[in-house]
Amino acid sequence: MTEEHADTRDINDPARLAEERAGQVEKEAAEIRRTQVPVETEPPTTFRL
Amino acid sequence: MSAFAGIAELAEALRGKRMSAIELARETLERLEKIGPRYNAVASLTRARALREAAAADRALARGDTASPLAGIPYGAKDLLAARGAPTTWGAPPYRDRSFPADATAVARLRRAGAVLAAKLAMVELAGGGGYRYPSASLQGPGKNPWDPTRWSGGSSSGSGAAVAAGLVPFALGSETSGSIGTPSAYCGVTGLRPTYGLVSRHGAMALSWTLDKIGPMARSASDCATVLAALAGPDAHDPTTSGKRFRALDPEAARERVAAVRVGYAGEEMELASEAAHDALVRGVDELRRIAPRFVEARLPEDLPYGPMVSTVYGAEGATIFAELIESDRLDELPDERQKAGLRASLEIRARDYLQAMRLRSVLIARMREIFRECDVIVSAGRTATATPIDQPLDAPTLPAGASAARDAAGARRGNIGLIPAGNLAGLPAIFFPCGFGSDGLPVGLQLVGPPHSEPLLVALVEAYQRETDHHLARPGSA
Repeated sequence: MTEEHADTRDINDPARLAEERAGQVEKEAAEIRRTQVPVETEPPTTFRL
Repeated sequence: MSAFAGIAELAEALRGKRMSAIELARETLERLEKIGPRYNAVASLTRARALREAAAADRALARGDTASPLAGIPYGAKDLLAARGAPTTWGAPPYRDRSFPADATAVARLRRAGAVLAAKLAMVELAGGGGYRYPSASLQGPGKNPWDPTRWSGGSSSGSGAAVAAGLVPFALGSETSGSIGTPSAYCGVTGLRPTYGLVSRHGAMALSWTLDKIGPMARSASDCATVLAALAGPDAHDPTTSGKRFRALDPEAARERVAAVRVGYAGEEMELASEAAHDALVRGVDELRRIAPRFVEARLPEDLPYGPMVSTVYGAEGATIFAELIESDRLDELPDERQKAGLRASLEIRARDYLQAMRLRSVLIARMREIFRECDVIVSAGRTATATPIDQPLDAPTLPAGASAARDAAGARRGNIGLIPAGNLAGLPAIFFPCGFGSDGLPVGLQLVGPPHSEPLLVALVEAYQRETDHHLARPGSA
């Protein structure tokens, strides 16, 4: 968001927070996806009984 | 007897009949009742239970049963641990009237060791899993720091840190998903131990994240943490994630040998990015550690893993699943922190793909940490890079100077030891947090040592050696 389009809502406004936190989930997802794991050498799943 | 006496000193007084467990329990309850509210440290007093357990301890001591070092020693438990006969609120208004019929395993083990539960201690609501904005995100109000009540005591084990620092209890139980023992330990100037994942049963504890949560002691010294951990650790049929391992401190000779030979992994970035107030004390603390354990080597965490997004994706997805019923109900509105509520709702939308990718990256991280610990035995870093923040300051506001914040942003929070708290938690590694002096603002500053899984005996031995040569852990707040 640019300076001239800065969000004027209160920082604790529920609608603003909902958008921000949803955006954060997407941003973190993008960072996680960016890190590749080589499937050829990846060990088996860690699930165990 | 000083309100700041440690466990060994109190145990000696009890065994020597210089005081009874009942007298000690009454003094403790009085301090908790009188001083606890100054810091919003207490969720509830467990007076009747404390007096009953203290009477049992006195009977055991009268019989000459002095085997347990915790017999008659009072303590407080973070209010996410169930304790029969007391409310267990998880720090959250929707659960203000709830109680459980049985003790959590950690509380039951301390009872069997003769310890005396004097209070449930305040915490951030739901251990802060939604990402709260203000320290006031707690049923008990903002945790106030005994060193300066205008500052935060840290979270989410806020009451545990404040109660130990203010001399209300000699030790407390805290819990950590990612930083919740470390932050209040650093901010309040106490010693806290985050055990290896699976060393301590979590049966009867509120779950925020099945794969990250750990329960550990917060106390006046590394020795006291070790005494408590020895009683807590071990297998539990009620918690299938327990490793089955136990904890025993090294004997003095073995400890001396290990400390003399220990290779301390160190990277300076964290110190370079420390706040102006904390920087010099952190550097001095590292220098003091170097005099005790001179074999410093360079150690750098993997630079290509997004620790912050990984840890928040894992506890976000797990926590949102655990609390889905609450999140989707009107009761969520009872939580006071708007950011926390929005975060919990948003976490319900984390995709399975992203959670699983974060878990895959955890496996990569664990393998990389194993490689790092071939070159060093422990890693030292700042407990927190800044001193306790003002009680009304938003926690998502920068705590570092502008230049440091910019450098951290540029590094993507992935360089060197930056991110040791999320990385250590993601890898299930033990850590010990201990005070190393005071910042220029007069507030406590602390270091952390992180080791490979089940290296608690070495971590304790190293900090015991540090605390024999320094007196930072003996400082007391004037306001208490």
